[in-house]
Amino acid sequence: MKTLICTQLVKAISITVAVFLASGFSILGQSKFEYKFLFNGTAYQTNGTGNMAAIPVTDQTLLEAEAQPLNITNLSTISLVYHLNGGLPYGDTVDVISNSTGQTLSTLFGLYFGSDYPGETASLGRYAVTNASQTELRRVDQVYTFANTPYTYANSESLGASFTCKRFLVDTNGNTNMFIDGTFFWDVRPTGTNVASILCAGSFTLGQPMF
Amino acid sequence: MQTVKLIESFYLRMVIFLVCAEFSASGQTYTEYKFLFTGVAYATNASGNIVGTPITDQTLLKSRVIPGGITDLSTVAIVYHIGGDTNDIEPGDTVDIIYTNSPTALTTEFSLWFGADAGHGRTAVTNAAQSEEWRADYIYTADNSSYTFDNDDSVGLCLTHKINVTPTNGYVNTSITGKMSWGVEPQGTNGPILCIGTFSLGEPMY
Repeated sequence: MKTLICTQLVKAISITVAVFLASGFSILGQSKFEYKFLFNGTAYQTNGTGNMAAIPVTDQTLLEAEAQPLNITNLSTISLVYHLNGGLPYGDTVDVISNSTGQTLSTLFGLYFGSDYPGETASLGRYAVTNASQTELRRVDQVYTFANTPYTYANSESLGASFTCKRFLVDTNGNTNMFIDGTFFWDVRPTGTNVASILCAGSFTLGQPMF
Repeated sequence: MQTVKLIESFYLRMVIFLVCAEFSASGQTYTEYKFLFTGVAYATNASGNIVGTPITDQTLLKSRVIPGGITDLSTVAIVYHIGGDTNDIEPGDTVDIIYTNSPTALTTEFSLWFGADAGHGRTAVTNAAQSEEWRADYIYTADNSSYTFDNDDSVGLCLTHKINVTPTNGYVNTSITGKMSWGVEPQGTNGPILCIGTFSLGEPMY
């Protein structure tokens, strides 16, 4: 009888812990700020014969290019992510992160100044369009790149733009899901092994939520 | 017989002359072409929802000339002006409003600047023959109207693709296309507007 009571008690505690953990996961699920960045585009560059060449570029191309200077060869350990508010106060970023820890290893793009940021004192006169419930935004973000890689160039000024549409949807569990897509283009000045200018253009959406 | 040969020779010379003259005339370099635009203007309506309203080059044209008292739209045109701005640090193209009987700009709708300005770290991609170019142009607007406003900084960008960038005799079919997006500050009781669309060139004007 005592054994049965103990067993039932253990069961009850287990269930309580399970419910608690489950609710904890639910809370965590509300705060995903990093989603896989899915990009498809074209890199335009003048080839060795002086002709315009169009080379397909995807998020994997960008990830590979960014992994080289990080000395990372196993691409399954890292991801290219769209990071909401990754560059506060200016805007969002596209980062390379560790899949295991979520740590930002490098930032590929800053999507900044599509609207005045909170506390900005010298307005650039940029305006986003937002609905009243703040669940949908359309904006022209300026694209910044920070390092010299095959597809980026270290520059203090913007090198392109993203026509970004953001939607936020709260599901029945109270989790906020992001849906962000955009048309994206930027230029790259020749540095290092890049012998000619590049202009990349494409579109992106979000994939799997990460952290 | 000799007379026939003389007439034949004269006829051939005339044909060659006319053909050359014709090519020379059609080889004329145009710098202003009709600006054909199709896009959407996004704004928040009175119910608080974002609505997309279709806009075209004619919408933009009307928004500039009707407030100026021009009601006969057949007398005006909105044009893409290659090298429309020559007085700045980086000369650039413009989108202008003109009378159809004169190339002079009545006003400028957009200025497309700094797409290849090394001082800002920017670069265009051009082929060796200088006949094709891809560039990210920064859009500037200088006047307050329904779809523009007076701002010192760029208000958007244009992904521009040019073919036959430097027209010469025989390169008369300049093709310029682009995808552009720009913002407009709130004016009066209206909230901000964000416009996005594509353009191409139409009929050569001047």
